[in-house]
Amino acid sequence: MNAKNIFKLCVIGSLGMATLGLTLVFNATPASAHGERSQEPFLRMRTAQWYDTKWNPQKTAVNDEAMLSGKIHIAEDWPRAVVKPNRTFINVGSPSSVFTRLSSKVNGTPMFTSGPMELGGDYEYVIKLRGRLPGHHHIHPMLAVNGAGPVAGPGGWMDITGNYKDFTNPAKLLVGGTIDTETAGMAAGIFWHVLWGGLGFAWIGWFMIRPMFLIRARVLAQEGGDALLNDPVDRVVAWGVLGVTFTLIAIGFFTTDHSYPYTVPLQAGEPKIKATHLKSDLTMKVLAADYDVPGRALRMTLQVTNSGETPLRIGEFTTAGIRFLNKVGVANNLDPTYPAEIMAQDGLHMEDESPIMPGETKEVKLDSRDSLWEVQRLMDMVNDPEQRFGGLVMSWDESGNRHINSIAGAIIPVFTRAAG
Amino acid sequence: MGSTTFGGSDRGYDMSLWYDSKPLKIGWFAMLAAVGSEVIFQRVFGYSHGLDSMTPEFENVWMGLWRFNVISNIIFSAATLGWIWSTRDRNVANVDPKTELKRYFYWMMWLAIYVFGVYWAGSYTLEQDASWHQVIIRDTSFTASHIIAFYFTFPLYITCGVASYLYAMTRLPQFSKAVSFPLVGAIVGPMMILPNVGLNEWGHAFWFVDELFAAPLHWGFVTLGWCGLFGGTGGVAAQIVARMSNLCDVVWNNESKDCLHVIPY
Amino acid sequence: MALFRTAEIIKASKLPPEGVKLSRMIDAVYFLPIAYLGVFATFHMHFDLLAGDWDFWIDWKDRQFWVTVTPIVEVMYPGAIMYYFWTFYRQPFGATLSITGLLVGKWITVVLAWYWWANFPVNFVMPATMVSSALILDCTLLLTRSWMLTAIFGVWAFAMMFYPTQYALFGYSKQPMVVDGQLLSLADYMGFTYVRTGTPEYIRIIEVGSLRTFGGHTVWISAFFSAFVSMLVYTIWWQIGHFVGQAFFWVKGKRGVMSRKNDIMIVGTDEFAARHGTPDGVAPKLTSARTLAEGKS
Repeated sequence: MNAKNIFKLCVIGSLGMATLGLTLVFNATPASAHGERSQEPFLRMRTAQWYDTKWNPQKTAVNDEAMLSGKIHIAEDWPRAVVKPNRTFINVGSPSSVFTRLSSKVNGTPMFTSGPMELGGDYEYVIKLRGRLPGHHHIHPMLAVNGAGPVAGPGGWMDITGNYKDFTNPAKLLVGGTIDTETAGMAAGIFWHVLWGGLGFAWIGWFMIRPMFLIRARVLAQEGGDALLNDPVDRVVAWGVLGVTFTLIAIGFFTTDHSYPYTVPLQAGEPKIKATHLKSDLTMKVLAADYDVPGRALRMTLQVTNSGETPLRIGEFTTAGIRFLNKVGVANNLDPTYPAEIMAQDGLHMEDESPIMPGETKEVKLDSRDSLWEVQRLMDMVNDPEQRFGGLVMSWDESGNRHINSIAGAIIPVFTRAAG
Repeated sequence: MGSTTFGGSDRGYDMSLWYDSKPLKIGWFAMLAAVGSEVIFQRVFGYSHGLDSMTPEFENVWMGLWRFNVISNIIFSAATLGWIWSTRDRNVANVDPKTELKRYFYWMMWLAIYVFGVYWAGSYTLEQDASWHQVIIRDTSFTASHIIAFYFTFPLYITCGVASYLYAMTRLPQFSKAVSFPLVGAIVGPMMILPNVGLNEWGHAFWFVDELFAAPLHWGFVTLGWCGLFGGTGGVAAQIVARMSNLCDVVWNNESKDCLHVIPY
Repeated sequence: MALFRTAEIIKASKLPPEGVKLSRMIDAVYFLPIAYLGVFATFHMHFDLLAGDWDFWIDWKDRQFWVTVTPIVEVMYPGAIMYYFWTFYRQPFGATLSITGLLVGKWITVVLAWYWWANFPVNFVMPATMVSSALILDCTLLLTRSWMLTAIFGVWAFAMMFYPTQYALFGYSKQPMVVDGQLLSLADYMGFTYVRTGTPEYIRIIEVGSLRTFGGHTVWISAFFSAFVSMLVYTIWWQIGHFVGQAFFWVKGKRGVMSRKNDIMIVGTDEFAARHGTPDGVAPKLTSARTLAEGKS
């Protein structure tokens, strides 16, 4: 029997799957990140440079507010393969809407809709969130670029405690009163769906209670069959259904119109957000760079000129949201809440650690060396269509003022230790 | 209307000569159970292991399911099609009209199971995919949603479609020698939706990373889906009704069997 | 007196009770599992991939594209399905079947996928309903018995009644609010407050173009245009219904040449009428020509 055959196989299949599932239940480890590592290195290193990202607080109760904030530098050396950021949206990468977003400001301007960003510009974003779904969630800031897709920023963990049942998301209306976005309009929507659906099914049911196909096809095929099938009672019912339909549409429309006298269309504007620019007394030029595949290091030779008045020490190299620091960086810029899995506190090395003196120009050999290059899949650069890298170099003067330079340059892979 | 018109329990004839609903019930609920289990799997492991394709958990859990889906579909397909072929009617031209009516019901049941598969693929898992794209960053072609949509429900309905075709070829006289135009459309059109996934992934990998459902990139699925109209609400249904009508006339109205041979077999 | 003509119709079908029972079993196996489920499986895919985004999200339901696109995309399947059910069986429920089916498919997904898996509130992803329009379309066909008049009047009403029907469901979302000093509609705010990873705001295709509608009747201009296109699309899809309704076989001839051949329903032939009589009130016509069954050509 054919169906038995299917049935047997399906049972075997379900059992197999269940077995697989069971094994997993016992081996289940918590989820890690959110898919950002599969994005190509050129996309992460040369588009949006994320820095000063903060997830605050890291533990929120349902209905409490939290903040996701930080800065992005839009790389000057934006890759040719990626559409330019003419229409962008600062988004949140979260495993579904675990938070609701209450407000999102970029350089102080609300960003409800998308707008252009400037190559070489800097933008500070502050996103206000409200805890919605309890759990341990990996949250990223994201820059979504029309035509290029989302560019994920660094991901950090945020916990939400409490019970989803307690969640409400009140929104204050301009004409007075508040409305909960979780349930607004739900009852009316379901009412009308049930009503129209019920009428629709009743209409079909009216014909289902009589012979439907073979009988009618046979009658229709015969002389006079067409007239016979034109049952007068159906015509009466059809007039009735037409009348009821138009009446219900009118009732629905006019009562709703009466209930909401003040309405506005969807708002589809475009914020033109003014960029700020990085400030640094240093100028930097990439003289050469290679990445040591087995050694998991990016090695740069930079020509650095200090045109300021105080000595400056390099302390951090950050790219793709991953931070490589040395002692200077740790002393000046260590955020202990920054996710440890994307920060190498001893990841930046220089042959000559002396400061760059005012007026001095020198060659600096800067190594960012850590297993993060591999773990975070940035070594995959070798598969990129344009062998270039980018990132931010941060330096500090003695009083702790930060100077940030955006660097970019060509890069050569070193595949074997011997060659390196 | 009314049940008396259509025969009660004392109807005085033996329905089992031309009707048996068991295969439909078994097949339908088996498919419900199979796809239902996969959907429950998604609910259990979607968030815990399905967010980052670069992790070993994803490789174990989700790619494990992918491998299971591919292998189980190959086994299901080989077993089903092999069974239909090996038990074919070698004397199909001389089938008794009542038996042929019964086979038409069986065939409709195959088509119903095929349609149920198309439902899971084209309606349920397709729109579900839109919802999962709001949860993850598009980081692999094998998302927790795609693994079940493209690699479980798609091959599942394709097998059922091909099985329906093969059943008709091997059991129903009209389809044994002649080729039904609408039936080819109804089976092959939706079948091409699986290869069309290639276009989808190509476009999404290189050009269209965000999720606009109505994007022209997706229209290949739409036009191939239209071919389903050839089946349940098109030529295939018309062929079934015409043939069953003639069989009824032979069985109950003493019409000569000549009317069964307009399409030669 | 009986409510329906069923007894006469059954008599005219020339089937004994056993045959009538068989016809009801065809109805049972064929109608819901094959015809209905088949329509809504593929119609749902068709609709989602041509107009889905406007239907998924509350903040896509604009005056311009939502109102224009939805009726055009939703009238396509009814065109073909109405052709099939009307031409072959004179059944006037093709549009309602298509659209209630679409909504059953959508609601299953709204609850199981959007709400249960992806955690969106149901009101945020609530679909529009065109069942009202479908009923108008089906009743028009039944009453006019003409697909041309249905295309002109029924489809026009089908598209024009879209917005008034939806207003009862979504009117609330057009209420204004002020967030961070900016005016938004509640729908905009909901689109902003519920985070969507894969659909950033710029994906929205809403409210573009010069929008110089002079009187501010943006919705009605969209609806009017939508009605016009829907009429054309409906007639094309009626023809698609005809195309997919072709029931011929490719038959191999003596020299291996393939030719098309249609089956013939013997019940529709004059010889059958001569042997078994015609329906009541119709005089038997005796010719030797065999005619094709209605709609099977």
